[in-house]
Amino acid sequence: MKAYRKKKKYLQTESIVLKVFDFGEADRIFTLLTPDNGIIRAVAKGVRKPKSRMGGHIDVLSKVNIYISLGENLSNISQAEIINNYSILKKDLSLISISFYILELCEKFSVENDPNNDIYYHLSYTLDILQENLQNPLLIRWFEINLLTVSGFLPELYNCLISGEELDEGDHLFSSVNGGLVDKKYATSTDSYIPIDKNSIKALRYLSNNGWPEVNKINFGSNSLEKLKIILRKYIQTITNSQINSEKFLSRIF
Amino acid sequence: MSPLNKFPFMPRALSQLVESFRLLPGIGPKTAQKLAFSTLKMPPEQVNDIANSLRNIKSEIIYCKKCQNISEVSICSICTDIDRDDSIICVVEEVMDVYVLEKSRAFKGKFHVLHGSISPANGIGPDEIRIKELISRVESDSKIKEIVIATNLNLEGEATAMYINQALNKFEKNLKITRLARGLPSGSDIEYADETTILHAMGSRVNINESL
Repeated sequence: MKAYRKKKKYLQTESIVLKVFDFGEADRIFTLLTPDNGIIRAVAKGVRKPKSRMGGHIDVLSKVNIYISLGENLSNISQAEIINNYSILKKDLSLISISFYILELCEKFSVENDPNNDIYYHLSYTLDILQENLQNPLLIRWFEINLLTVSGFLPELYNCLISGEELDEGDHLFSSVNGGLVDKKYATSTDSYIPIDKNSIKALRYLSNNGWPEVNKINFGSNSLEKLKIILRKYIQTITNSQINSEKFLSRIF
Repeated sequence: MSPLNKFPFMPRALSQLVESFRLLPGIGPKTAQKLAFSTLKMPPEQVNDIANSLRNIKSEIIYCKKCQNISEVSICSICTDIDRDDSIICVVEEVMDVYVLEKSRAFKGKFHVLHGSISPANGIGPDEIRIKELISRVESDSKIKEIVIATNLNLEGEATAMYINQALNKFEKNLKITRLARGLPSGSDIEYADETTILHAMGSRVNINESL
């Protein structure tokens, strides 16, 4: 009988390193976000040793060109070359804390072998902006709302979730469970809502409809930004059904 | 399905031992089985020695009150060594790092072990590692003049170093905070070095007469 040998598959792609953890004696497992294959988890052998050729190329928060041999259980990284090291971000603790947060969000919203490349390009674009617009809290909110958009989780911001009617220009309620705004008069006592004022609603709509160059010109006010932070974090927690670990460190540093 | 289910007639004591070995890092089901069968073949005295060593590691090993390194007494042998320099403290992530630095004989000061690094994505912040102990040690000990931060050279190690630097800079004490130099490893070819390493090696270049 002829021996069946499975063809080994190779993949060369650009990727952003989202997460890493030590594995075995001197190996590391990297969680990589790619444009065409979603998330890939792959092991880099011997990467923790000082003489590893890959060690300096591959780390969290790096855009790398990667060569992977795909395995059934775990893929192997055979080569890595830096495309962008985001060295400006890595020199500042506040920027590192923001980066950890947005990388974790991308990991939570991405799936393996997903050809949808919007999350990848949104992350890549945001990291580039972050290098120029240092420490701008508005950028985090813009990133969050657009991540929700590209993942298909944009909350309903124009019509009441219960009645379906168009919302008037006033204060309303936000339902993180149902994902959107609810008119006060239709609110049920069983659901928990977050009250949201009209300025914060306008800010949320503006952030979801505009690119960063337009958003960056607007001053939304600290109250609205704080409100958006509470609402978006609650909504993201509900969707992902988990705590965002980096949030604690971000709040402490930034 | 667990591979252990392939051996339904394995005695309970043996399968429990296999499961126990599997708890160790880097040990898969096959290796765990091999270790368990090797243990079975050992003379009873050797097995007792292993069992005692395992028991003792939890009952006899404590953390040094000063440097947080593992020790059998409340203040470890490195902290009580009068021949070592009290004014310089090397901050490392893990106990293993102390042994590596000690083996090199390149450092004659004292240590502080953090027992990890800041890793926000894994829920490890400054409170989860022993940074507070380092800060209170520096605050209370006037002999300390320099802190050498020797955390790993990855993003988590860098974030930890930056956080310690920020926290220690708040003191009005004239404290020197340094970071281990980084660059090309001994015996390596420049041809294979990455951009980041070259950048750091260039930035930390030294006068040829001062180099070791």
